[in-house]
Amino acid sequence: MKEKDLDDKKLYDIANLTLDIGNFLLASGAHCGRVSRNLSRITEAWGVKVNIHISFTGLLITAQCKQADERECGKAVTLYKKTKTYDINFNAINEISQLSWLIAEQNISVDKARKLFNKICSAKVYSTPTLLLGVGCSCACLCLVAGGDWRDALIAFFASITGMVVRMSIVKRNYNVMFSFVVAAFFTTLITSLHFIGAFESIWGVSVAPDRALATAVLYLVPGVPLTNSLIDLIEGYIPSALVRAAFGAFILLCIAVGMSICILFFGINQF
Amino acid sequence: MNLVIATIIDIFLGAIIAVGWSILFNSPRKVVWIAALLGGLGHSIRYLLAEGFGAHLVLATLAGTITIGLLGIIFSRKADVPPVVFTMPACITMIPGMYAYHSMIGFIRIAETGLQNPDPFLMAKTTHYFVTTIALLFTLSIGITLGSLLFRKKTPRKIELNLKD
Repeated sequence: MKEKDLDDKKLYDIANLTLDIGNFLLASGAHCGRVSRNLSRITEAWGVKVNIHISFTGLLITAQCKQADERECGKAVTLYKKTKTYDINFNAINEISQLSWLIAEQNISVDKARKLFNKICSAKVYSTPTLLLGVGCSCACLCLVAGGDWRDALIAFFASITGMVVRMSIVKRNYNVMFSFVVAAFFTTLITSLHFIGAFESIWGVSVAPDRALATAVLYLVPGVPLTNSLIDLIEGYIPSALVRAAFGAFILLCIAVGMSICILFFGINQF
Repeated sequence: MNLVIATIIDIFLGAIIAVGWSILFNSPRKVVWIAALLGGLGHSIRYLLAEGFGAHLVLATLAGTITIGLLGIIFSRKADVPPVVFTMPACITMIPGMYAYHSMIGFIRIAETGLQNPDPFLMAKTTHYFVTTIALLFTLSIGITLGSLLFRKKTPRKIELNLKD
């Protein structure tokens, strides 16, 4: 691409689109290596070289136009944007990877890429009832795997669904994310603790291992993706992002523990 | 014979857990079955090694996650999606819920027990549970990381995005 084709407006548009895509990937749960690979693949097709600094809470990007002989010409744009709320979306990661290949191979225009990106952003794969059913089933099966009987599994099913409904309604009202984890863990543990101290024994008799329900019903809150990505970033050398992700995941774990502890202390630790 | 039946049940339970996590992580619909397959396989390998052959739990989990990670590479080439989309839900089936719970209860007890009549093994038990939890979490990450570290696909993917507006 020649220098005269890349005017300031176009360079700014490319940098802005790249920044939005990178931020969306980070919020969807992609590790830094993937973000950086996708972004440079996209911009290279348009004759632009990007340098990125990823810190998980935000993304700093410098786009420079690249000439045919790899020499950088003078023009450069630097932009920074904060990352949106963390919302894991693996479908979007897959589709943006395809979008980057599409741009690299067919060299489509920036406006068209922006349109496709907006379409990917708004797409949702599963409806809320499916999500709740999935959460309930996986927690119930985790309870069975851990050694609980069908009563424990049933309690884990309903407790996890209740907690998820509470968490989703808190997130929808734009409260603090960490607060939503504490409250969701509290309500889930409230139901399982009632089962533990034998509030439902008159309905279906004594359960074998009610502590399994208590332990496994909160597992839908566990931040597996940030913790795993933190390790991947650490191995690939993105140290700042790895530390931030580890702190984020560890704090979510702490919030879950606080929510459970409040409930357990409410019933008295000697019963557990 | 008992072990065989228990392993078969474990495969099914692992598959259901992996499907649930796929839905929670918003994975694409067409790869949910791969997550279920890998989740069931990985979880049953861990169960078989830990219960049947008496292997250490961390070692058994490592075997399960590495199997998932390696098979994930093969499936990712077949289905043309990044491997993390199904290795992550499959590995998280082995999340150490009971160990995390016991370490949390232990920490509450440490704060709650008076100094008059202390439990001499409380600290040791809590530390054991806590360290095992951390070790199992790291083991899960290793299985997922393996796919993106060892083999990386350089060739273009098949594009299924719809270009029309």
